[in-house]
Amino acid sequence: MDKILRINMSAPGKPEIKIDSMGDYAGLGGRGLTSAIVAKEVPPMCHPLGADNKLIIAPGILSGTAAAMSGRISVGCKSPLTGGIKEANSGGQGAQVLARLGYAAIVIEGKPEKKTLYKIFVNKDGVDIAEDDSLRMLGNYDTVNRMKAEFGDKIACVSIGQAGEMMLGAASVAFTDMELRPCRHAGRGGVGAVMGSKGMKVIVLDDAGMKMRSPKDPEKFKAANKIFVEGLRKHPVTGEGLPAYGTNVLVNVVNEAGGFPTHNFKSGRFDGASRISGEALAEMETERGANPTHGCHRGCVIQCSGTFFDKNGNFLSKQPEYETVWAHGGNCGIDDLDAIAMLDRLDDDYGLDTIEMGATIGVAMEAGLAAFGDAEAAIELVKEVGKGTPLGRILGSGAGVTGKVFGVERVPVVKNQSMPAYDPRAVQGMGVTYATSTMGADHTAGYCVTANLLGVGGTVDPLSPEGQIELSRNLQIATAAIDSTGMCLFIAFAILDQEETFNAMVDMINAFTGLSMTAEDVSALGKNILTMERDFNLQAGFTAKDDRLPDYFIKETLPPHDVTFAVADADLDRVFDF
Amino acid sequence: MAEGIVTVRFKGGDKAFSVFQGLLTQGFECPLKTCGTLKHVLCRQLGISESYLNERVQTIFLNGRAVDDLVGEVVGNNSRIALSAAMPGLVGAVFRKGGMLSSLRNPRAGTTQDASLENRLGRVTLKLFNLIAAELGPEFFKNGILIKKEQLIHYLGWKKDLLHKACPAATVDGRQVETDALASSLAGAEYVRLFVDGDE
Repeated sequence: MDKILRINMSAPGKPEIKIDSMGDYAGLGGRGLTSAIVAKEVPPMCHPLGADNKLIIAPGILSGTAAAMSGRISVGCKSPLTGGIKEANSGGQGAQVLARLGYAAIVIEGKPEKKTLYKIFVNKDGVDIAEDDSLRMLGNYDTVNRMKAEFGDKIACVSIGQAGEMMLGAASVAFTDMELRPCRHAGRGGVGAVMGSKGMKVIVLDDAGMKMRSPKDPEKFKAANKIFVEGLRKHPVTGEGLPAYGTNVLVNVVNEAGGFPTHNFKSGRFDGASRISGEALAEMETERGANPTHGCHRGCVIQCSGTFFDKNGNFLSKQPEYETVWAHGGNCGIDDLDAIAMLDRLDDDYGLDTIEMGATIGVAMEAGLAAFGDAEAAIELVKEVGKGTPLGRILGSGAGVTGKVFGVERVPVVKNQSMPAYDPRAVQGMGVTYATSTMGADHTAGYCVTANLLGVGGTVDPLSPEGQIELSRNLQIATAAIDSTGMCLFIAFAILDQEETFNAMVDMINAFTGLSMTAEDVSALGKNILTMERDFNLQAGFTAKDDRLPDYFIKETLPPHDVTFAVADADLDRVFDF
Repeated sequence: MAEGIVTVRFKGGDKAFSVFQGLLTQGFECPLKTCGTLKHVLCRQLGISESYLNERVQTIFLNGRAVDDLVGEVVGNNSRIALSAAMPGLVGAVFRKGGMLSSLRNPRAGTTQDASLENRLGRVTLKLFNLIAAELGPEFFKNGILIKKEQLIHYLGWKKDLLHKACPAATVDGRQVETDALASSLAGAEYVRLFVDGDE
């Protein structure tokens, strides 16, 4: 993984392929690499859909190795949704296959003169790019089926659906899973729109003949990986809860806490929560012969992704994630798992971020386009996006645009990106991260990576209310660093609770790279990434006013606890004081 | 039938238990001999072992508020308690009892009980989530859970197809009843004590 594949779509005649050395980017991966390239090579004031923007697809530092859980891949660019820097990441096979092919990143730059669609095929022998307008306005599922027919079934695909081709703000980039289903997505921030603006429909990766990446110290690496896997398997979250119920296990808990945004963030409790919970979903899947315990990529130990079959026992979609079940479920008043899975399938096929689309439909319902709880109407609204109707293009542009077009005041966005599935009034620390993240409202920006254990930013008093700012800061730093490794964030609990598992992860990185990274190095990496991202956003025109939640989160109380978001602006402005 | 309570008993082994597990996540009522601390109520009155509570139960809500101190929290009449195993994600860590990220909660969310309620007779609603439902559920079903009739009827309507496959018949106060006719056989009752037997 010592080269960067650059594809210049502006080259006269045909896109130009160039293979670069890592140069100044040596040692970086995942979010660290995507943000470094965007920060250095993309003019902050450029139009996100113009020739000056770049789309970077980068596996993590450990991707393509035998390291368990190392299959995350980052997609970076200037976001057409937020106007700032963006890193959206995904599971699926893309990270492992691209890394084994030796590429640290694919950078798609420029913009084709004519409106032609392209497909790229990358294997051990090189890179081939070809026009293919027969793929126009195909969904991700049909696109992948066409690639399978052309290149065989030992491939991995990176593609966009109709939403990406239409360059909509909610458009995602799809990655295929182990069964070649385009159901894992770099969803956030409209990264699919940037891929569409480059005329790139699909990238086909074939790692046949390529070997797993070799560590500098194979014995130490193998031993560390073994301890790491044992730690994941014995921990109740990664070894039991997630495999049994998937991420959707959170529905009942968040609902009980009064933090499950319902009816476009009007309440923190949804009466139908138990009907769409992880427990109900797992029971339904098992009854229909689907599998609630399934990995999204090779080397996954946690196996939280699952499959969802329809009433007739046919595959419909992946097991909807917690965020999807919330967005299309409670947020829209829908308590029907079949309808939610159908919405998930449509989002995946059209290439849409499920969080953005669920929030958008919630805003549309508040505007009166459909009644809360009307599942059929919600499905029809999402289908409008696939058809590319004027209404569909508005909805596919996200909650912010939809709110403006239909005159809705209560629009749950920060930096124009929809909030995920935790009301910041009930979980204030999450609100701090929503407000200040470089990415816009993002639940993974400050994830559960133990700040104290990593020693990032010093030790804070967790029981102090003032600690919210410090914790959010430290979590954002730690998450930025972990996002560079290619490791799935769900490892967080095991490394939080089990020191030997945390140490095994560090040993694994060091044995692979031949480095001797310390907690200070991890901290420095995270801070460096955030600094680059913040600087880019400042140059793109962001100010402190963009680090705020919408007004109504401060003014309107959230039932059942009747709380507001009460963190002061001055405190929010301290988050990046490091 | 005593005090508007009928006894409904299903048999059907693990499949039957699976069908009814969702009732545990919705919540059921537990009469208390006395109110008291959270630890007293859960361990002494509801029969959950202290070691299980300490090790397996990682998140506890009392009236919708995540709590950390089982001895300092008082459970009053009509309280609502929810128990969960370890949860993923940032929010899982935030709500975890004694977790280092607990400061990310909103400290004003939820109400605390008045300590003067201690020793009053009462009733609580108990919710069991995820692995806790799977592990403690059989024992609660063996002893019977108390739920409102309307809740059971609504639930049976939702699980109609699965119920037919898992346990087509039940007994109501000892009388055999087809599940299709169950709702009508509960006329006049306010509450149901529901037993689900693990053995075929």
